[in-house]
Amino acid sequence: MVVDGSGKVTEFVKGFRDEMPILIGVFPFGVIYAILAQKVGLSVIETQTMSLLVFAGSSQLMLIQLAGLNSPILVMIATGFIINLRHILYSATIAPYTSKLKSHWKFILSYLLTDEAYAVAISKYSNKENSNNHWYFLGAGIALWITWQLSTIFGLLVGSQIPANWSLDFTLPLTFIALLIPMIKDRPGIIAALIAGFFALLTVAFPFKLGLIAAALIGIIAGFRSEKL
Amino acid sequence: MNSIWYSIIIVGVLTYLSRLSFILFSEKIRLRPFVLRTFKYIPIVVLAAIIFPEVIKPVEPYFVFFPRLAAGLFAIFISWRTKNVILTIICGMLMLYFIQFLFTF
Repeated sequence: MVVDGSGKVTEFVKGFRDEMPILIGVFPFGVIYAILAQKVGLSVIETQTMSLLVFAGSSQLMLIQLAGLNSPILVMIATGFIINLRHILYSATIAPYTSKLKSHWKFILSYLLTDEAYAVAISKYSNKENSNNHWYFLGAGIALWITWQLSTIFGLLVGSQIPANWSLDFTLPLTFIALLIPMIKDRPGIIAALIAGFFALLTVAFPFKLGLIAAALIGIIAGFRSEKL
Repeated sequence: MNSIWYSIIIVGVLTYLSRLSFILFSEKIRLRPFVLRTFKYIPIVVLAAIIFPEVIKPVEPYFVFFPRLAAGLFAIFISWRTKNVILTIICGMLMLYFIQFLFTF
């Protein structure tokens, strides 16, 4: 591969590479999604199309769970959307860095704006000024996109052959732990995380994952309050 | 077209619009400093709110002791000391297997 003078390829490769460690947690998650989707009766095409169109693990799992319960379509749409509302916030934090890009870049990067690509891209944007940071973002996003599609295909192929007692689903919270801990840099951060986690436990029975949103709001308020302590 | 197809397409479109919102229209949307301060906490509180129930809920047949809690705490420790994603996941899974192994008998 030829590295061009302006460092576009270099940044793309860097982004791709920095995304790799996270992919270890993403792959089993995609496999689990595809296995569960088939269990509730989704066809191969429906399962793969959801990975292409929705491209967000937690809401995809939520949708198939609801599909398995024969939930009304409005409940499925509302739940999938609420869980994905956080992407508006990701979009807002990324926007100042992408404002000078051409429209086609904005359309492509938006499609790739997942939890995992966001985490890698935002740390790059906030740490290093570089005119080719969008290539870095693209590299991270494409690495995740390929992994997500392949893991879905893999899950469809292996189906139920993976024993359930491997507890592969636990790699998901472990991935989130590995993302969360380095983000906590001060006491308000610790307090916000603990309070949000605690209220998430209390509200875990709320319908439609609304407890998650309530817990997040309370955590943010707690973080604000503790800044003044 | 059944309801799963409608859900896939509509949630897909809504998710894409959420991702596109500020990136495409940032010049037209003005954010107040208060909102920007809030964003600092969003990933922290959302991740914590997902992690806690996943790690603390008891999973059959281990009602007596929670292997996931111990494995989760161990992973938090590893992440805090090393900030290494792969190592955190591997150590967490190994701890989970170890405790499940111990308590299977």
